[in-house]
Amino acid sequence: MSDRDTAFAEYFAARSGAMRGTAFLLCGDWHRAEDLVQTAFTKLYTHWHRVVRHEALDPYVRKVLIRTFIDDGRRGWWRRERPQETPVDHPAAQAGTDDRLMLMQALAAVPPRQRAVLVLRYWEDMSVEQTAAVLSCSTGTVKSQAARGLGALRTLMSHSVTAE
Amino acid sequence: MNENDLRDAMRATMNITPPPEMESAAALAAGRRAVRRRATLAAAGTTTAVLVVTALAVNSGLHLSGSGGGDAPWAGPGRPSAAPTAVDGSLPAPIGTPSAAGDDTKPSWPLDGDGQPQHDATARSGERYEQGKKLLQEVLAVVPEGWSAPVGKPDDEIPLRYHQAQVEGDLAGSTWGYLATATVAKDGRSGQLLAEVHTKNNGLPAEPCALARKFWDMGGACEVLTVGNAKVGVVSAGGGDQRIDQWAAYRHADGIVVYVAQSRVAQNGTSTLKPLKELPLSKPELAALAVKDRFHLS
Repeated sequence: MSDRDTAFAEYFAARSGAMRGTAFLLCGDWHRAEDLVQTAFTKLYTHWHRVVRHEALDPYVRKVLIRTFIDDGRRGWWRRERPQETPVDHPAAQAGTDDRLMLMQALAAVPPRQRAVLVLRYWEDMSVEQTAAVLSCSTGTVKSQAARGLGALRTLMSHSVTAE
Repeated sequence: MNENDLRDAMRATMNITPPPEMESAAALAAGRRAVRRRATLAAAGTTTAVLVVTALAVNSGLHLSGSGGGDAPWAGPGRPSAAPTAVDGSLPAPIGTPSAAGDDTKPSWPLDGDGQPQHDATARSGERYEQGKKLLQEVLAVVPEGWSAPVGKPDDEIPLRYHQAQVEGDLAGSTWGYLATATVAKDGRSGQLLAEVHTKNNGLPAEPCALARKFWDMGGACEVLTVGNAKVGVVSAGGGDQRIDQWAAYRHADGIVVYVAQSRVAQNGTSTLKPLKELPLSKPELAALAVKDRFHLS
Protein backbone atom coordinates (compact mmCIF):
# COMPACT_ATOMS: atom_id res chain seq x y z
CA MET A 1 0.00 0.00 0.00
CA SER A 2 1.42 3.40 -0.97
CA ASP A 3 1.94 6.23 1.50
CA ARG A 4 -1.12 7.97 0.13
CA ASP A 5 -3.29 4.88 0.54
CA THR A 6 -2.14 4.33 4.10
CA ALA A 7 -2.70 7.95 5.11
CA PHE A 8 -6.05 8.06 3.34
CA ALA A 9 -7.28 4.86 4.99
CA GLU A 10 -6.26 6.16 8.42
CA TYR A 11 -7.98 9.46 7.86
CA PHE A 12 -11.12 7.76 6.56
CA ALA A 13 -11.27 5.48 9.60
CA ALA A 14 -10.92 8.46 11.91
CA ARG A 15 -13.28 10.93 10.29
CA SER A 16 -15.85 9.20 8.09
CA GLY A 17 -18.17 8.64 11.06
CA ALA A 18 -18.36 12.33 11.94
CA MET A 19 -18.80 13.28 8.30
CA ARG A 20 -21.59 10.73 7.95
CA GLY A 21 -23.36 12.30 10.94
CA THR A 22 -23.27 15.70 9.27
CA ALA A 23 -24.47 14.17 6.04
CA PHE A 24 -27.33 12.43 7.85
CA LEU A 25 -28.54 15.72 9.30
CA LEU A 26 -28.42 17.20 5.83
CA CYS A 27 -30.30 14.48 4.01
CA GLY A 28 -32.12 12.50 6.71
CA ASP A 29 -31.20 9.12 5.29
CA TRP A 30 -28.27 6.95 6.34
CA HIS A 31 -27.84 5.33 2.94
CA ARG A 32 -27.79 8.66 1.18
CA ALA A 33 -25.48 10.02 3.87
CA GLU A 34 -23.02 7.23 3.13
CA ASP A 35 -23.23 8.01 -0.57
CA LEU A 36 -22.39 11.63 0.15
CA VAL A 37 -19.47 10.66 2.36
CA GLN A 38 -18.19 8.22 -0.24
CA THR A 39 -18.35 10.88 -2.94
CA ALA A 40 -16.50 13.39 -0.78
CA PHE A 41 -13.76 10.98 0.21
CA THR A 42 -13.32 9.74 -3.35
CA LYS A 43 -12.67 13.30 -4.45
CA LEU A 44 -10.30 13.73 -1.55
CA TYR A 45 -8.36 10.65 -2.67
CA THR A 46 -7.96 11.97 -6.19
CA HIS A 47 -6.71 15.32 -4.84
CA TRP A 48 -4.83 13.93 -1.86
CA HIS A 49 -1.51 15.55 -2.68
CA ARG A 50 -3.08 18.96 -3.05
CA VAL A 51 -4.58 18.90 0.40
CA VAL A 52 -1.21 18.81 2.03
CA ARG A 53 -1.90 20.10 5.51
CA HIS A 54 -3.63 17.63 7.77
CA GLU A 55 -5.85 20.26 9.32
CA ALA A 56 -7.09 21.14 5.82
CA LEU A 57 -8.55 17.68 5.26
CA ASP A 58 -11.73 18.22 7.27
CA PRO A 59 -12.62 21.56 5.62
CA TYR A 60 -11.98 20.08 2.19
CA VAL A 61 -14.12 16.96 2.72
CA ARG A 62 -16.86 18.96 4.40
CA LYS A 63 -16.96 21.41 1.53
CA VAL A 64 -17.25 18.68 -1.08
CA LEU A 65 -19.90 16.93 0.97
CA ILE A 66 -22.01 20.07 1.33
CA ARG A 67 -21.70 20.97 -2.34
CA THR A 68 -22.59 17.47 -3.43
CA PHE A 69 -25.63 17.57 -1.19
CA ILE A 70 -26.77 20.94 -2.58
CA ASP A 71 -26.13 19.86 -6.17
CA ASP A 72 -28.15 16.71 -5.60
CA GLY A 73 -30.94 18.88 -4.25
CA ARG A 74 -30.89 20.90 -7.46
CA ARG A 75 -31.17 17.70 -9.43
CA GLY A 76 -34.23 16.72 -7.48
CA TRP A 77 -32.99 13.84 -5.38
CA TRP A 78 -34.41 15.37 -2.25
CA ARG A 79 -37.81 15.71 -3.82
CA ARG A 80 -37.89 12.02 -4.56
CA GLU A 81 -36.82 10.66 -1.18
CA ARG A 82 -37.78 11.80 2.29
CA PRO A 83 -37.21 10.45 5.78
CA GLN A 84 -39.57 7.60 6.50
CA GLU A 85 -41.75 6.96 9.50
CA THR A 86 -39.71 3.85 10.26
CA PRO A 87 -35.96 4.18 9.63
CA VAL A 88 -34.79 1.51 7.23
CA ASP A 89 -32.13 0.06 9.50
CA HIS A 90 -33.89 0.63 12.82
CA PRO A 91 -37.18 -1.23 12.95
CA ALA A 92 -37.39 -1.03 16.74
CA ALA A 93 -38.78 2.31 17.87
CA GLN A 94 -36.83 4.08 20.62
CA ALA A 95 -37.85 6.63 23.20
CA GLY A 96 -37.77 10.09 21.72
CA THR A 97 -38.04 8.80 18.17
CA ASP A 98 -41.07 10.99 17.49
CA ASP A 99 -39.19 14.16 18.40
CA ARG A 100 -36.23 13.16 16.29
CA LEU A 101 -38.40 12.24 13.36
CA MET A 102 -40.23 15.53 13.72
CA LEU A 103 -36.93 17.43 13.52
CA MET A 104 -35.77 15.48 10.50
CA GLN A 105 -39.07 16.02 8.73
CA ALA A 106 -38.97 19.73 9.53
CA LEU A 107 -35.36 19.96 8.31
CA ALA A 108 -36.40 18.17 5.14
CA ALA A 109 -38.90 20.93 4.45
CA VAL A 110 -36.23 23.63 4.69
CA PRO A 111 -34.53 24.49 1.37
CA PRO A 112 -31.16 22.72 0.95
CA ARG A 113 -28.94 25.78 1.25
CA GLN A 114 -30.73 26.96 4.39
CA ARG A 115 -30.48 23.46 5.76
CA ALA A 116 -26.76 23.43 5.03
CA VAL A 117 -26.36 26.73 6.87
CA LEU A 118 -28.24 25.38 9.88
CA VAL A 119 -26.19 22.18 10.03
CA LEU A 120 -22.86 23.96 9.61
CA ARG A 121 -23.67 26.69 12.13
CA TYR A 122 -25.45 24.69 14.82
CA TRP A 123 -24.16 21.14 14.42
CA GLU A 124 -20.63 21.75 13.22
CA ASP A 125 -20.45 24.93 15.33
CA MET A 126 -18.79 26.81 12.50
CA SER A 127 -18.58 30.59 12.57
CA VAL A 128 -20.49 32.76 10.13
CA GLU A 129 -17.25 33.37 8.22
CA GLN A 130 -16.37 29.68 8.06
CA THR A 131 -19.87 28.79 6.88
CA ALA A 132 -19.70 31.47 4.20
CA ALA A 133 -16.41 30.04 2.98
CA VAL A 134 -17.81 26.52 2.73
CA LEU A 135 -20.89 27.70 0.85
CA SER A 136 -19.02 30.27 -1.25
CA CYS A 137 -21.39 33.07 -0.26
CA SER A 138 -21.25 36.25 1.78
CA THR A 139 -21.48 36.38 5.56
CA GLY A 140 -24.66 38.40 5.15
CA THR A 141 -26.21 35.56 3.19
CA VAL A 142 -25.27 33.09 5.93
CA LYS A 143 -26.89 35.27 8.57
CA SER A 144 -30.08 35.75 6.59
CA GLN A 145 -30.27 32.06 5.61
CA ALA A 146 -29.75 31.01 9.22
CA ALA A 147 -32.49 33.34 10.40
CA ARG A 148 -34.88 32.16 7.70
CA GLY A 149 -34.03 28.53 8.34
CA LEU A 150 -34.64 28.83 12.06
CA GLY A 151 -37.86 30.67 11.36
CA ALA A 152 -39.00 27.97 8.98
CA LEU A 153 -38.13 25.25 11.51
CA ARG A 154 -40.00 27.12 14.23
CA THR A 155 -43.08 27.30 12.06
CA LEU A 156 -42.85 23.70 10.92
CA MET A 157 -42.28 22.33 14.42
CA SER A 158 -45.12 24.34 15.92
CA HIS A 159 -47.43 23.16 13.16
CA SER A 160 -46.46 19.58 13.89
CA VAL A 161 -47.17 20.02 17.57
CA THR A 162 -50.43 21.78 16.87
CA ALA A 163 -51.48 19.03 14.50
CA GLU A 164 -51.04 16.45 17.21
CA MET B 1 -37.17 27.28 18.22
CA ASN B 2 -33.97 29.23 18.72
CA GLU B 3 -30.43 28.18 17.87
CA ASN B 4 -29.88 26.49 21.23
CA ASP B 5 -33.06 24.46 20.82
CA LEU B 6 -31.87 23.39 17.40
CA ARG B 7 -28.48 22.37 18.76
CA ASP B 8 -30.15 20.27 21.45
CA ALA B 9 -32.53 18.71 18.96
CA MET B 10 -29.71 17.80 16.61
CA ARG B 11 -27.71 16.23 19.42
CA ALA B 12 -30.72 14.22 20.51
CA THR B 13 -31.28 13.08 16.94
CA MET B 14 -27.68 11.97 16.61
CA ASN B 15 -27.88 9.95 19.80
CA ILE B 16 -29.62 7.22 17.87
CA THR B 17 -27.45 4.26 17.05
CA PRO B 18 -25.94 4.76 13.60
CA PRO B 19 -25.40 1.94 11.13
CA PRO B 20 -22.08 0.06 11.26
CA GLU B 21 -19.02 2.12 10.41
CA MET B 22 -18.10 2.50 6.79
CA GLU B 23 -15.12 0.46 5.67
CA SER B 24 -11.87 2.14 4.76
CA ALA B 25 -11.10 -0.57 2.22
CA ALA B 26 -14.24 0.20 0.22
CA ALA B 27 -13.51 3.91 0.28
CA LEU B 28 -9.94 3.27 -0.79
CA ALA B 29 -11.08 1.07 -3.66
CA ALA B 30 -13.50 3.76 -4.82
CA GLY B 31 -10.73 6.34 -4.68
CA ARG B 32 -8.41 4.14 -6.71
CA ARG B 33 -11.14 3.56 -9.29
CA ALA B 34 -11.67 7.31 -9.59
CA VAL B 35 -7.96 7.90 -10.15
CA ARG B 36 -7.88 5.13 -12.74
CA ARG B 37 -10.83 6.66 -14.57
CA ARG B 38 -9.01 9.98 -14.73
CA ALA B 39 -5.89 8.31 -16.03
CA THR B 40 -7.87 6.27 -18.54
CA LEU B 41 -9.46 9.41 -19.91
CA ALA B 42 -6.03 10.93 -20.23
CA ALA B 43 -4.74 7.89 -22.05
CA ALA B 44 -7.81 7.76 -24.27
CA GLY B 45 -7.01 11.27 -25.42
CA THR B 46 -3.39 10.36 -26.02
CA THR B 47 -4.36 7.23 -27.90
CA THR B 48 -6.69 9.22 -30.10
CA ALA B 49 -3.90 11.64 -30.85
CA VAL B 50 -1.56 8.79 -31.71
CA LEU B 51 -4.16 7.31 -34.01
CA VAL B 52 -4.76 10.58 -35.82
CA VAL B 53 -1.07 11.34 -36.23
CA THR B 54 -0.37 7.81 -37.41
CA ALA B 55 -3.20 7.94 -39.91
CA LEU B 56 -1.94 11.23 -41.26
CA ALA B 57 1.60 9.94 -41.55
CA VAL B 58 0.59 6.73 -43.30
CA ASN B 59 -1.92 8.27 -45.63
CA SER B 60 0.27 11.15 -46.67
CA GLY B 61 3.55 9.27 -46.64
CA LEU B 62 4.97 11.75 -44.12
CA HIS B 63 8.02 10.92 -42.07
CA LEU B 64 7.88 12.40 -38.59
CA SER B 65 11.35 13.71 -37.96
CA GLY B 66 12.68 12.89 -34.54
CA SER B 67 10.38 9.96 -34.07
CA GLY B 68 12.58 7.28 -35.51
CA GLY B 69 13.60 4.78 -32.88
CA GLY B 70 12.28 6.84 -29.99
CA ASP B 71 9.00 7.65 -28.35
CA ALA B 72 7.46 11.06 -28.31
CA PRO B 73 7.93 12.65 -24.89
CA TRP B 74 4.35 11.90 -23.93
CA ALA B 75 4.34 8.40 -25.37
CA GLY B 76 6.69 6.94 -22.76
CA PRO B 77 4.84 7.93 -19.61
CA GLY B 78 1.52 7.19 -21.23
CA ARG B 79 2.41 3.68 -22.23
CA PRO B 80 1.19 0.93 -19.97
CA SER B 81 3.52 -1.64 -18.52
CA ALA B 82 3.59 -4.81 -20.58
CA ALA B 83 1.49 -3.07 -23.18
CA PRO B 84 0.19 -5.49 -25.78
CA THR B 85 1.61 -4.97 -29.22
CA ALA B 86 -0.86 -3.47 -31.62
CA VAL B 87 -1.78 -6.18 -34.08
CA ASP B 88 -4.33 -6.03 -36.84
CA GLY B 89 -5.21 -2.50 -36.03
CA SER B 90 -5.89 -3.10 -32.36
CA LEU B 91 -4.78 -0.33 -30.03
CA PRO B 92 -2.47 -0.67 -27.03
CA ALA B 93 -4.26 -0.75 -23.72
CA PRO B 94 -4.46 2.70 -22.17
CA ILE B 95 -3.30 3.64 -18.70
CA GLY B 96 -5.54 2.13 -16.10
CA THR B 97 -6.82 -0.66 -18.28
CA PRO B 98 -7.14 -3.94 -16.39
CA SER B 99 -4.35 -6.34 -17.06
CA ALA B 100 -4.77 -9.32 -19.34
CA ALA B 101 -5.49 -11.48 -16.32
CA GLY B 102 -8.52 -9.34 -15.66
CA ASP B 103 -7.22 -8.03 -12.35
CA ASP B 104 -8.76 -4.59 -12.22
CA THR B 105 -7.06 -3.82 -8.93
CA LYS B 106 -3.70 -3.37 -10.60
CA PRO B 107 -3.85 -0.39 -12.93
CA SER B 108 -0.99 0.28 -15.31
CA TRP B 109 0.35 3.69 -14.45
CA PRO B 110 2.80 5.70 -16.50
CA LEU B 111 6.35 4.49 -16.18
CA ASP B 112 8.63 5.96 -13.58
CA GLY B 113 12.25 6.77 -14.34
CA ASP B 114 13.30 3.25 -13.39
CA GLY B 115 11.10 1.79 -16.12
CA GLN B 116 8.60 0.44 -13.62
CA PRO B 117 4.97 1.63 -13.46
CA GLN B 118 4.18 4.32 -10.93
CA HIS B 119 2.51 3.12 -7.72
CA ASP B 120 -0.22 5.70 -8.18
CA ALA B 121 -0.70 8.99 -10.01
CA THR B 122 2.50 10.42 -8.55
CA ALA B 123 5.83 10.10 -10.34
CA ARG B 124 8.67 9.05 -8.04
CA SER B 125 11.48 9.35 -10.58
CA GLY B 126 12.05 10.23 -14.20
CA GLU B 127 11.33 13.24 -16.35
CA ARG B 128 8.09 14.29 -14.65
CA TYR B 129 9.50 13.84 -11.18
CA GLU B 130 12.39 16.08 -12.18
CA GLN B 131 9.96 18.73 -13.39
CA GLY B 132 8.33 18.76 -9.96
CA LYS B 133 11.75 19.03 -8.38
CA LYS B 134 12.63 21.88 -10.72
CA LEU B 135 9.48 23.70 -9.73
CA LEU B 136 10.57 23.60 -6.10
CA GLN B 137 13.94 25.06 -7.06
CA GLU B 138 12.16 27.86 -8.91
CA VAL B 139 9.98 28.57 -5.88
CA LEU B 140 13.07 28.73 -3.68
CA ALA B 141 14.68 31.09 -6.18
CA VAL B 142 11.93 33.67 -5.71
CA VAL B 143 11.88 33.69 -1.91
CA PRO B 144 12.05 37.42 -1.13
CA GLU B 145 15.23 38.97 0.19
CA GLY B 146 15.39 38.89 3.95
CA TRP B 147 13.42 35.66 4.19
CA SER B 148 14.81 32.19 4.80
CA ALA B 149 13.57 28.87 3.46
CA PRO B 150 14.22 26.30 6.20
CA VAL B 151 14.57 22.58 5.56
CA GLY B 152 13.66 19.50 7.53
CA LYS B 153 10.58 18.11 9.21
CA PRO B 154 9.14 19.70 12.32
CA ASP B 155 7.21 17.78 14.94
CA ASP B 156 4.25 17.08 12.67
CA GLU B 157 6.56 15.23 10.24
CA ILE B 158 5.40 17.25 7.24
CA PRO B 159 8.48 18.37 5.30
CA LEU B 160 9.11 22.09 5.08
CA ARG B 161 9.92 21.72 1.40
CA TYR B 162 7.89 19.51 -0.87
CA HIS B 163 7.43 18.78 -4.54
CA GLN B 164 5.48 16.33 -6.62
CA ALA B 165 4.45 15.51 -10.17
CA GLN B 166 1.10 13.85 -10.73
CA VAL B 167 -0.57 12.60 -13.88
CA GLU B 168 -3.94 14.22 -14.45
CA GLY B 169 -6.47 13.94 -17.19
CA ASP B 170 -10.00 15.10 -16.70
CA LEU B 171 -10.22 16.02 -20.37
CA ALA B 172 -8.81 14.61 -23.55
CA GLY B 173 -5.04 14.77 -23.59
CA SER B 174 -2.45 13.58 -21.15
CA THR B 175 -1.85 16.27 -18.56
CA TRP B 176 0.56 16.55 -15.68
CA GLY B 177 0.38 18.71 -12.62
CA TYR B 178 3.45 19.87 -10.73
CA LEU B 179 3.25 21.17 -7.19
CA ALA B 180 5.96 22.67 -5.01
CA THR B 181 5.74 24.20 -1.57
CA ALA B 182 8.40 25.90 0.50
CA THR B 183 8.14 27.14 4.04
CA VAL B 184 9.44 30.69 4.34
CA ALA B 185 10.45 32.24 7.63
CA LYS B 186 11.25 35.64 9.04
CA ASP B 187 11.57 37.01 12.55
CA GLY B 188 10.65 33.69 14.12
CA ARG B 189 7.46 33.26 12.12
CA SER B 190 6.74 30.91 9.22
CA GLY B 191 4.50 30.92 6.19
CA GLN B 192 4.51 29.25 2.83
CA LEU B 193 5.09 29.90 -0.84
CA LEU B 194 3.55 27.49 -3.32
CA ALA B 195 3.50 27.01 -7.06
CA GLU B 196 1.34 24.66 -9.09
CA VAL B 197 1.69 24.14 -12.83
CA HIS B 198 -0.68 22.28 -15.15
CA THR B 199 0.62 21.27 -18.56
CA LYS B 200 -1.29 21.77 -21.81
CA ASN B 201 -4.79 20.44 -22.42
CA ASN B 202 -5.62 20.82 -18.75
CA GLY B 203 -9.23 21.90 -19.34
CA LEU B 204 -8.91 24.84 -16.95
CA PRO B 205 -10.80 28.07 -17.73
CA ALA B 206 -9.24 30.76 -19.90
CA GLU B 207 -10.71 33.82 -18.18
CA PRO B 208 -8.22 34.98 -15.50
CA CYS B 209 -10.64 35.13 -12.56
CA ALA B 210 -12.44 31.91 -13.50
CA LEU B 211 -9.01 30.30 -13.65
CA ALA B 212 -8.00 31.75 -10.29
CA ARG B 213 -11.19 30.66 -8.56
CA LYS B 214 -10.67 27.14 -9.86
CA PHE B 215 -7.51 26.79 -7.78
CA TRP B 216 -8.25 23.89 -5.41
CA ASP B 217 -11.92 24.82 -5.90
CA MET B 218 -11.50 27.54 -3.30
CA GLY B 219 -13.35 30.31 -5.14
CA GLY B 220 -12.98 33.72 -3.53
CA ALA B 221 -13.03 37.39 -4.43
CA CYS B 222 -10.89 37.97 -7.51
CA GLU B 223 -9.34 40.93 -9.27
CA VAL B 224 -7.47 41.05 -12.56
CA LEU B 225 -3.99 42.57 -12.48
CA THR B 226 -2.04 43.46 -15.61
CA VAL B 227 1.59 42.45 -15.91
CA GLY B 228 2.93 43.80 -19.20
CA ASN B 229 0.45 42.42 -21.69
CA ALA B 230 -0.61 39.60 -19.43
CA LYS B 231 -3.84 39.44 -17.44
CA VAL B 232 -3.48 37.66 -14.11
CA GLY B 233 -6.31 36.66 -11.79
CA VAL B 234 -5.51 37.27 -8.11
CA VAL B 235 -7.67 35.95 -5.29
CA SER B 236 -7.49 36.72 -1.59
CA ALA B 237 -9.13 33.98 0.43
CA GLY B 238 -11.56 34.79 3.18
CA GLY B 239 -13.51 32.86 5.74
CA GLY B 240 -12.87 29.38 6.97
CA ASP B 241 -10.78 27.87 4.19
CA GLN B 242 -7.35 28.68 5.53
CA ARG B 243 -5.28 26.47 3.32
CA ILE B 244 -3.99 29.37 1.25
CA ASP B 245 -4.34 33.10 1.83
CA GLN B 246 -3.66 34.52 -1.61
CA TRP B 247 -2.90 33.23 -5.08
CA ALA B 248 -2.35 34.38 -8.64
CA ALA B 249 -3.33 32.48 -11.77
CA TYR B 250 -2.00 32.85 -15.29
CA ARG B 251 -2.63 30.89 -18.44
CA HIS B 252 0.17 31.04 -21.00
CA ALA B 253 -0.66 31.28 -24.68
CA ASP B 254 0.22 27.60 -25.14
CA GLY B 255 -2.29 26.55 -22.46
CA ILE B 256 0.12 25.89 -19.60
CA VAL B 257 -1.40 27.20 -16.38
CA VAL B 258 0.61 28.58 -13.48
CA TYR B 259 -0.65 29.22 -9.97
CA VAL B 260 1.57 30.99 -7.47
CA ALA B 261 0.27 31.21 -3.91
CA GLN B 262 1.23 32.30 -0.43
CA SER B 263 0.00 31.53 3.03
CA ARG B 264 0.52 32.97 6.47
CA VAL B 265 0.72 29.45 7.83
CA ALA B 266 3.43 26.96 6.96
CA GLN B 267 2.15 23.65 5.65
CA ASN B 268 3.08 22.11 8.95
CA GLY B 269 0.19 23.97 10.50
CA THR B 270 -0.03 21.57 13.42
CA SER B 271 3.52 22.30 14.51
CA THR B 272 4.60 24.97 16.94
CA LEU B 273 5.81 27.37 14.25
CA LYS B 274 4.19 30.76 14.60
CA PRO B 275 2.21 31.98 11.58
CA LEU B 276 3.18 35.13 9.73
CA LYS B 277 1.58 38.45 10.52
CA GLU B 278 2.04 39.66 6.96
CA LEU B 279 2.29 37.77 3.68
CA PRO B 280 5.73 37.67 2.04
CA LEU B 281 4.60 39.15 -1.29
CA SER B 282 2.28 41.92 -2.40
CA LYS B 283 -0.48 41.17 -4.91
CA PRO B 284 1.44 42.77 -7.82
CA GLU B 285 4.53 40.78 -6.88
CA LEU B 286 2.51 37.57 -6.77
CA ALA B 287 0.95 38.35 -10.16
CA ALA B 288 4.35 39.15 -11.64
CA LEU B 289 5.70 35.78 -10.50
CA ALA B 290 2.81 33.91 -12.13
CA VAL B 291 3.82 35.07 -15.61
CA LYS B 292 7.53 34.36 -15.17
CA ASP B 293 9.09 31.94 -17.63
CA ARG B 294 10.72 30.09 -14.73
CA PHE B 295 7.36 28.52 -13.86
CA HIS B 296 6.43 27.74 -17.46
CA LEU B 297 7.05 24.00 -17.26
CA SER B 298 5.83 21.53 -19.85
